[in-house]
Amino acid sequence: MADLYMYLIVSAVIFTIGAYGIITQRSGIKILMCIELMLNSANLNLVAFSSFNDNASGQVFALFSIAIAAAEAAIGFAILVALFRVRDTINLDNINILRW
Amino acid sequence: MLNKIFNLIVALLLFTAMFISINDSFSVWSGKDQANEITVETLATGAGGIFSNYIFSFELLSLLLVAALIGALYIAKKEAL
Repeated sequence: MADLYMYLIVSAVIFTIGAYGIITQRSGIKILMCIELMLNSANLNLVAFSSFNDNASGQVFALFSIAIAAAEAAIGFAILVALFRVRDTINLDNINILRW
Repeated sequence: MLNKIFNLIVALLLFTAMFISINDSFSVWSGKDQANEITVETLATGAGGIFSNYIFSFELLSLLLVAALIGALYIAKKEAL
């Protein structure tokens, strides 16, 4: 079995853990952590294919993806801080402030 | 309880779909069993590097990060919402 296969399997496992966490958890911080897990599994795929194909573009894309994930996490935590000031909770079941 | 079982089934179905797709696409990317090391010089200034081919994306990314930083500070400060 090829070595690349193992990277893909590990990436699929990490993605599944992240998706399962997003389905089950109701806390905002946990959901943000699971989003990071899913993004990092995609990064793992990019780096593995790039390294096995001897093509640097995949690793450059992984770098961009990491930076965008950092921006997304910053915005997400800022929104959670603002919501906690208003509602005193970050349980997403109790937050309907954007609903009309 | 039923909800938890349903969530687990959905996650397992997702993993099964990904596993099947990995197995089915095996013939496309198989035969490459040697991981080649890509040096930092290649990554930075090579043909597909950050500072040669993707320099515009790199500059745009810096703009995005500054925008995200300012936006996060604006959202999280006291008077917002």
